[in-house]
Amino acid sequence: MYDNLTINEKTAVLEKTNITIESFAKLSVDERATALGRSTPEGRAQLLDRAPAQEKVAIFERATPAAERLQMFDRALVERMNIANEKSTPAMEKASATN
Amino acid sequence: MSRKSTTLLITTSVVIIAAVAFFTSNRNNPTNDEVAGAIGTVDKYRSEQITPGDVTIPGQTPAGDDVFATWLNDTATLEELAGFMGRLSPQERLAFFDRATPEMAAMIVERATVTEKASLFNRSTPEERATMISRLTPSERAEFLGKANVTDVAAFEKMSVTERAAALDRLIPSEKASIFERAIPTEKAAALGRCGVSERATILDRATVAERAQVLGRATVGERASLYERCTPAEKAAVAERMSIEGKAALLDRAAVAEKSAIFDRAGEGHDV
Repeated sequence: MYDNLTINEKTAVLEKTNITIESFAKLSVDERATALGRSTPEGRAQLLDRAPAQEKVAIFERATPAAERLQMFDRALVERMNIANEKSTPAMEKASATN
Repeated sequence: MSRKSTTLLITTSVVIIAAVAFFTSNRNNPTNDEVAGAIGTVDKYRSEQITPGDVTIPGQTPAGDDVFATWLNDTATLEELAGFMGRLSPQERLAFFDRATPEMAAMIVERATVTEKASLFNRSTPEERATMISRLTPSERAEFLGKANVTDVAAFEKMSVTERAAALDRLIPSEKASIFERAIPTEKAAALGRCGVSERATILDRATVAERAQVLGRATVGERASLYERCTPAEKAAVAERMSIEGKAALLDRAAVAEKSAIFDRAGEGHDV
C-alpha cells in the first residue's frame, strides 16, 4: 500500500512517525507496519485508499466483522436508493398508501 | 433546341429519376432473413434500468456509483430479490406486477387453473369473447357452439356481439378456459386487470422467480430498495456477497476516515503495507 503513494503522500503519511522516507525503506515488513500504525488516521486511511481493489477488499474482509461490513454496505446502498427513490414516483408507495 | 428534342430530354430525365427512386427504396427493404425472429422477443430486464445518474450524489464522483448501478441491474441480484417478493402484501406485489408487459402477464396467466381461466373468460368483454371464438377453427367453433346448445352456426354468426357472448355463457368452466387460451396477450392482461386484488394476487403468485425478476427489472430504484429493506440480515449479506471486487472496494472508499484507519489497524501484522 505504501509503495502506491507518491513522494508527497509518503512524506505526509510518515510525518507523525518521525521516520524519513529513506529510513522507512530500510525497515522490515513488521517494522514498517508498526511505524505506519503511528501515522495519523488520515494517513492510515490514505494507505488503504491507494491499495489496489483486490488488496483493499482482502483487508476489508479480513479486518472487518461480517456484521459491520453489512452495516456499511446497507448504509451506502439504502442511502443511494433513497436518493434515487426521491426522483421517482414508485408504485410501491402508492400501493402502501392505499393499504 | 426543337420542341421534339425538349420533350425527349424531359421524358429521359423523368425515367432516370423514377429508376433511381425505385432502386433506392428497394434497397432499404429488409429481407425475410433480416426480420426473422423479431416477433415475440422479450426485453428481459431492460426496461427502466438504473443508470449511474440515478444513484449519484451531488459532489461525489460518479465512478463509484457505477458499481452500485451495475449491481442493482445484475440479473442474479434481481432474481435473488425476486425470491423475496412473497413477503410483500398482495397490494405491494400487485404494484410490482403492474409493471409487467401484456406478454409477461399472459405468460403467467398460462399457469392459471381451469377455474381461474374460466373466471378470466367471464371477465372478458363481449367483444373480446366474440373475437376469441372467431379464432377457433370452423370445426372447433361448431363443437363449442354445440356444447352451448347453438346448433345453427350461420345464425350465430349473424347475432350481435352481445348475443354471441351471452350464448357462450352456457359453456362449462373447462370449455370457457379452452376458449380463453386463444386470447391474445393484451386480452389476457386486460381480463387479469379486471380481477379483484386477491384473485389477481393468487394468479400472479404463480410467477416463477425468473418471471418475478423480469418484472422487478422494470421496477423503479425505490421499489427495489423497498424489497431489499425487507430482507433479513442474512439475506442482505447473501445479496451483498454478489457484489464485485470493484463494488466492495468502492464501498470501502465511502467509509469515514476513522473507519478506514480502524480497518487498517485491525488488518495488523504488516503483511499488507
